[in-house]
Amino acid sequence: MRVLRRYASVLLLVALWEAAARAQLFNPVLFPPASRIAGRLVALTADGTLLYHAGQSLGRMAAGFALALLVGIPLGLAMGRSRAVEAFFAPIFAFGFPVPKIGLIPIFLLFFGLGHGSKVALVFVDALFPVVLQSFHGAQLVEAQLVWSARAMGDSDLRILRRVVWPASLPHVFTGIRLGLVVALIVVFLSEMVAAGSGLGHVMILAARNFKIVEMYTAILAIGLIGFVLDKLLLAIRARVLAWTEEAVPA
Amino acid sequence: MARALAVLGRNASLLLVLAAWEGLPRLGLVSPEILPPFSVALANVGLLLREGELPRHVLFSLSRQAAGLALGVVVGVTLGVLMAWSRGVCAFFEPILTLTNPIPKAALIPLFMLWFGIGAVAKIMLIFIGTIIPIVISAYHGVGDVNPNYLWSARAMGDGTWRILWRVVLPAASPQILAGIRLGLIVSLIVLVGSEMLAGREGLGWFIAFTMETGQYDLTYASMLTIAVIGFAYDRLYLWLMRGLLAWKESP
Amino acid sequence: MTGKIVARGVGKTFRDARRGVGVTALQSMTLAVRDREFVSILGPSGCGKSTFLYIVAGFVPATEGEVLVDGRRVTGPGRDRGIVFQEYALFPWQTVLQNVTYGLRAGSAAEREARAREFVRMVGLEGFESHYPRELSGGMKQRVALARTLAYDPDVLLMDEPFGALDTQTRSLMQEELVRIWEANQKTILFVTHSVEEAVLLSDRIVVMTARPGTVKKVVGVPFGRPRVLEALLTDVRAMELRGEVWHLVKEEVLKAGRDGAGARGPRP
Repeated sequence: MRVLRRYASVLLLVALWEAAARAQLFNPVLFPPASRIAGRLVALTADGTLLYHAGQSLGRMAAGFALALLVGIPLGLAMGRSRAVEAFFAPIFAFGFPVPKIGLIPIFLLFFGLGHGSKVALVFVDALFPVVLQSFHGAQLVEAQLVWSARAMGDSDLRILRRVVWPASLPHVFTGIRLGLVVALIVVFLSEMVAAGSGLGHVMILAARNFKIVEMYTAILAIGLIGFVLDKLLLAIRARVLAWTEEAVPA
Repeated sequence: MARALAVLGRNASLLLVLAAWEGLPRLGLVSPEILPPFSVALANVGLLLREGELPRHVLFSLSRQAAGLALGVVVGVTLGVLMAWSRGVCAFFEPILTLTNPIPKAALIPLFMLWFGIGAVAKIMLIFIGTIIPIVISAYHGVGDVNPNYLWSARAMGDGTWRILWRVVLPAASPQILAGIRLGLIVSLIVLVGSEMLAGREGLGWFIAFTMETGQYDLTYASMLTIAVIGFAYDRLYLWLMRGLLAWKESP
Repeated sequence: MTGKIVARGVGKTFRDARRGVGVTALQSMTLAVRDREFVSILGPSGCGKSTFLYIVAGFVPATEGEVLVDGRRVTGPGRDRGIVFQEYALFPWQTVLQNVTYGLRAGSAAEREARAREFVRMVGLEGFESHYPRELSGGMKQRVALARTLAYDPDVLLMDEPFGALDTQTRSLMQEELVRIWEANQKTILFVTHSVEEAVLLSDRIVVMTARPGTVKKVVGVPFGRPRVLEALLTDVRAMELRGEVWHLVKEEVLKAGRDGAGARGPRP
């Protein structure tokens, strides 16, 4: 019941959509009823089409994203703790951050062809930035006193990295992961729309070009659902891992 | 001389990338068909500038981006402030934002093309939708983080709601709002290029896709370089502006 | 009961909507402050003294009782009651002069600026008009906060531990400043503090509060005449005795607060 109340405005909008579509207030071709879209979503999931394409998209995204995490988190942390590392890599990230890396699709297509590789590479490059920047930020903010206490207790640099810097930076690292996920999703679908033979992005643009409107909406809905579920999943993991983060208690 | 060297030294990593871009194709390690050397791409930029292709597309792209961003800023800041100020407004919009936030705005591109056509309106609408989310969120958090003592002080001096919103809340939240607008700026460029690549007849994004499809790869790289520089310059300009506006702020 | 500020049976209970429990911060606060009197409210942490001040200021509504200022019921904040916070609450995006000018309404822009400058000078910050708060020390910031509130001439001054964020030396200097300014202006002041010494040095009367739920434990008169020389009072025997007496009263309440285990922080989540 409470869930319904929270999402009341959304339900209202969906109801309005349904009513407007049935009353044919707008071009019925472009504006099918929500119920039909939902129905098609179920049908396409049942026959496996959506699952196949979703799998393609998610697979590419996961590969690129995992790479971004494997490379980005250690790099960001290292940049946060070592002036030299920061000084060396900072220009790349400072320059690359505002650049719309989607513009680089041609390079990746030329290098990797139309298959999975180009998408994975693009996801990697795009997701890398928020992950590195946030990890960097988190490592930088580790209170000097925490590190000094560990040093005074005789910990080596590596030990300090593992046992102090890493846990202390986790909140920021998670923010980076969350932002990276958002970016990864955008990029994988966008690149699939530009050039791909499979995947939800491809399904959507194909449907649009062939005027199969309901299919198109279905693809959008599927993409949205995936994004929503992944985000919630990440938040749940974050809550578990970061249970020790204190929330300020109002005096 | 020493200063020049110092600047070069600081940007060593970027220079390395450029060196690789120039060296790899020239040494034949990478096919120059796929990766023309940096100098060639640069020369092509000059060529395109002279022939007028580039300025035309850049103008188209940037005007749409600016319009979409401006819309996003005005609506986004207003909405964010209202949401933080009024519980009713917040309750209405918050679930909508939470649900639409994880939707990659890229997914809306074909939809908007169908609704609004492939012209400027569709792009502007897309950019508007894309930029509004980070701006609303940052405005919302910015207002929420305003020190309540500021509000109480202003109330004690007799300020009414509108006066407080304009003279206290907005300036106090401006650091976060301006940071959110920066994100909006970056998103707007991504949505712009993406949507132009998928549909349309002009704009930098279209030009990149077109030159790729027609095999004019050296022009493709030239236009990619242009976008990169534009994105970087735009951001730097904004940061400079932001720093000026926030000169009063103490470092955290 | 009459006076500039009259509080009758003021009580405040905070309700946690989610858990349904209530915390009674204040109960049956009854006191009167005479016109042009300097009254301190003193008590252990968490006794509700700031809450009471905020009720008088109109930021927080009382759940019981009422507060009258000049015979009128307090229903919200107003220009008749100026507030000075512990954290200064200066608008960081405005210069010193702009902050002090903020509350002024009457007159032309030139007149308002002139009046603001006068008050900046009065608190000893002449020359700093174009500085931003971030360039000022804590003591200077508090002076600006004071100037801002005094400039638009409220009837009553409410101060919430205004020197609590300052180091001891600056604090002593600011206390002298406050007394000097007050003796020239003669406003009614309600001053919240947790420092016995401060209360004894500055006030005409001290209201000692009990631990939570806070109420008036005892009102102690401060017999030293005006104008006061604070430095002299530091070594005055009567002042020391008074300090001892008042501290004894407060100490009882501090210990009670600790014993009851509710702590000074309020219910834990």
